[in-house]
Amino acid sequence: MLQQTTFITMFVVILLVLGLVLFFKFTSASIDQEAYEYEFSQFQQLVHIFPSMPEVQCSKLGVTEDCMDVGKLKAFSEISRDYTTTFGAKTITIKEVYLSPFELTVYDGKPLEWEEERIVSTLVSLYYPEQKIYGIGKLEVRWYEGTN
Amino acid sequence: MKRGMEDHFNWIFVMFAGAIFLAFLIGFGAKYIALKETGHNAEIARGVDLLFSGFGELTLYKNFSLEVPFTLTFTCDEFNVNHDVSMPLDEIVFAPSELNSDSIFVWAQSWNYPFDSGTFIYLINKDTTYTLYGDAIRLLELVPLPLRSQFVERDGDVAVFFGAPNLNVGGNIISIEDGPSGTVTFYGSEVKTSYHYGDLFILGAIFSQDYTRYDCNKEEAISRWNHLREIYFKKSGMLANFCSYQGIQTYLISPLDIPLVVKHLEEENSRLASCEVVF
Repeated sequence: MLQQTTFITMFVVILLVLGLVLFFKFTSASIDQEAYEYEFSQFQQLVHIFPSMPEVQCSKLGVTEDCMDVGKLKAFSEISRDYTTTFGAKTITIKEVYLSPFELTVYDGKPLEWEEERIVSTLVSLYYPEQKIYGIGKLEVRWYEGTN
Repeated sequence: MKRGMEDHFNWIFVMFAGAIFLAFLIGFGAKYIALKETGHNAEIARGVDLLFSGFGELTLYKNFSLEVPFTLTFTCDEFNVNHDVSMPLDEIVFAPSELNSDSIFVWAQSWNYPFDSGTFIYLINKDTTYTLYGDAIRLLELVPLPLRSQFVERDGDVAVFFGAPNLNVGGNIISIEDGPSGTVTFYGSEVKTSYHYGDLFILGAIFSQDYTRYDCNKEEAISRWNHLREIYFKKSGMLANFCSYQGIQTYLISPLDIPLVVKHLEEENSRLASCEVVF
């Protein structure tokens, strides 16, 4: 009788523990998933945020314009390693699609290893200050997930 | 005798098993509440982060409020919600090291020095008042109208002196050397002095109320500004085939006093109007 009670009690306790462990794993996973979804939405927003950064946005006599300055993009690409904490494991490239061929890796944070690669792109207006002409560029951001 | 012992043992066993069940239930409840709170705090943190990153280059004023009070703590690199969830801080946010309220004022102001140099975000607790001693009308005019009610004539939580401070007034005391640049002294448990580069920095010092919080943001702002200076220097080098950019280039790498450099940069850039301007 005592052995039976002990056995049943132990069984119920084990079920309870298992249930709790699963429940907490599920709840923690849903919190992590929400955090990931937020990070992903921030990544998607980057193609809209990056062109309006003062480091690359066109400006004339202090007035900003809705375009990316190719002169600033080239200069920024030379110092972009200082922006690792801002951009992390991503690469940002710009490619002219209308005028003469021009392609530039503006930021290169590509890690040695990653699990998944996400890509988001948009068309942007480019300004070439040397020639004083406007072109159309494809801004592409790649995010390398699962890096160590 | 044997039967009696068995009953006794049964009771002990039942109590032991009951205690384990109870401990599980209490543990479950506590852990569940903690997890739910973490989820809620993460949601607030994302809301605050979205608010900061959403300002971009805009000059805006917003009121961030929730139904329950929350605590925001700041370090140089991150902010934390309710001492639980932390997020990295990419923007320049002038705020006290700890804000505890159900509603905070958020004001974003773009910084042109003399080129677009990013945005300063100021966080103000609706329960904190400020008293400015000295000629501060110029500074008040910069502050959005809904925020001006935080500035009171006397006995504010933060006393700001433009010149020599009166250390007998209560609250946090800050003294500012007025001008395009100067010193900012915080009279806390220790007296510490930093520097400012104009009104937006002075406001940063007032709303930070604290040397460490102010100084790390000031350093970050100047570091970004130096990056922009380097970008414009390189850009002017690319344009040099068409015009002479020697004048502006001198100031883009000049180690001179920052406000002086800014004044010369503005002049040199305007002088380029017939050529391609640098910024």
